[in-house]
Amino acid sequence: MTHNKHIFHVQGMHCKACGLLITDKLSEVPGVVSVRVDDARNTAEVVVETEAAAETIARDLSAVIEKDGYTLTIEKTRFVPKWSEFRYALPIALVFSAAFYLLQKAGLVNLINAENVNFSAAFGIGLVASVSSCLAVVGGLLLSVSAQYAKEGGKKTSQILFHAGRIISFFVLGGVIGLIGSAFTLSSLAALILGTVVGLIMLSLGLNLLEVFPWAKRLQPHMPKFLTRATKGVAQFEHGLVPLLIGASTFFLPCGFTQSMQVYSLSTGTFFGGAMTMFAFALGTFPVLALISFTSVELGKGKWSGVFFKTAGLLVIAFGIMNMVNSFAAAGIIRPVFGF
Amino acid sequence: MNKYTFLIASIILAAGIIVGAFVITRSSAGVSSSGAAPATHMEGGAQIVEITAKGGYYPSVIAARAGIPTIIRVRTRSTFDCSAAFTIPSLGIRKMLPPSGVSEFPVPAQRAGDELQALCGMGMYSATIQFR
Repeated sequence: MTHNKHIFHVQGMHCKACGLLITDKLSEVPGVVSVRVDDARNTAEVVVETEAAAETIARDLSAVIEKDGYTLTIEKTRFVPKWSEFRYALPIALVFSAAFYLLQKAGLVNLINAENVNFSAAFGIGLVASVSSCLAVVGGLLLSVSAQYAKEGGKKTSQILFHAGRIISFFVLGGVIGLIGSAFTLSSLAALILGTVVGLIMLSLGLNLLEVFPWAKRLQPHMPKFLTRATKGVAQFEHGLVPLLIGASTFFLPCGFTQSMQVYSLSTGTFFGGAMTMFAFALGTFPVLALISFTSVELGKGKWSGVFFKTAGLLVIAFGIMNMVNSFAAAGIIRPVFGF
Repeated sequence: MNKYTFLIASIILAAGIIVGAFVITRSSAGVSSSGAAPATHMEGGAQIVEITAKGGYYPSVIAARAGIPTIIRVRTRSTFDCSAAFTIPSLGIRKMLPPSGVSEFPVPAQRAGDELQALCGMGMYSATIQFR
């Protein structure tokens, strides 16, 4: 039986660990001797036992990895940005920005009148927080991450994992704060670094979402390679772990509301008091965040996906810049620019 | 209507919404940029600057006297938003205010022409104290 080597171009590769999944799945196909994926060139070198034509093999193997969003092609397809999609994306992004500005000016915070923060008060504060200035940080980050996942053909389970990670971490960490009686207070420098890092992440994800600069893909934050090698046999698990961790990490995002609630959790003095406070708050923020992630995944498929990604990209870039500028202002480096 | 008309109309509409919101909220707040609210009163040799922190800092521009010790008194009323994360970067003041209560920050005498900028932790809300 002769061995025939074919080199195919892989469409849909966007993360360094994706090659592991492709290698695993294709290796299981009967008749395939070996698979080697080149992450840098986005090619897959496949050795098969069959004498079939390259096109047939490409088609058959693509069917195996299609559900994960990959296809194998003979030729490298050239990338051309679809500028016409900006005709819709730009005005839509402007309208959403105006709506965000109006929401802040509406002064919804004045609705909060709680001397004693019970469960429903914490929930109500969460509701208000989810449309306040924190929307630019947490909502903006969630938009960029879920739009990116939608672009990569992410599964619905990813967004469930994100929200579960967030709500569970708020419960657990809220309880920890209540128990040990001290909150995670960031120094001025740490807050500045955190705000800048979040802003830069949003900028890089936003640029990538625009689908205009192919080189922007390299700027994306990746899981470090040594971590992905360790989970080689469970490549799909790695895909699931990331949204869970991102959701849990939102506890530490710079958001005045979260910090106030953390201070209140501290004052409860018990694990259960702190846990329920943060849990109720996280539940309050859930509707708006769920709306963002759900819409992203839905719009990310279908014919409006291109316009959606560009709109999301513009909004994420705008929010990312705003958050970074505000971080600098809060640190006293520059005068305040974006005020409400 | 063709695509360019749609684009231009949307941009004008969005710009109109933003400008309209700006104009409406400015006029209802009744604070012009040239009018700074005066610092409230004196207490035992120090001037008291009273600021309410809830959904922002009010008043947002305050005129105070230079050359005398100052106490900045920040009042919160069920404040859970970013205003509770009170900071004056130039003085190294950073404090999470309690949701309801009064917090005082003594400030050394400032020179005429100095300005103190108070900001919320995220940088979105600010109050400026102008010393004359």
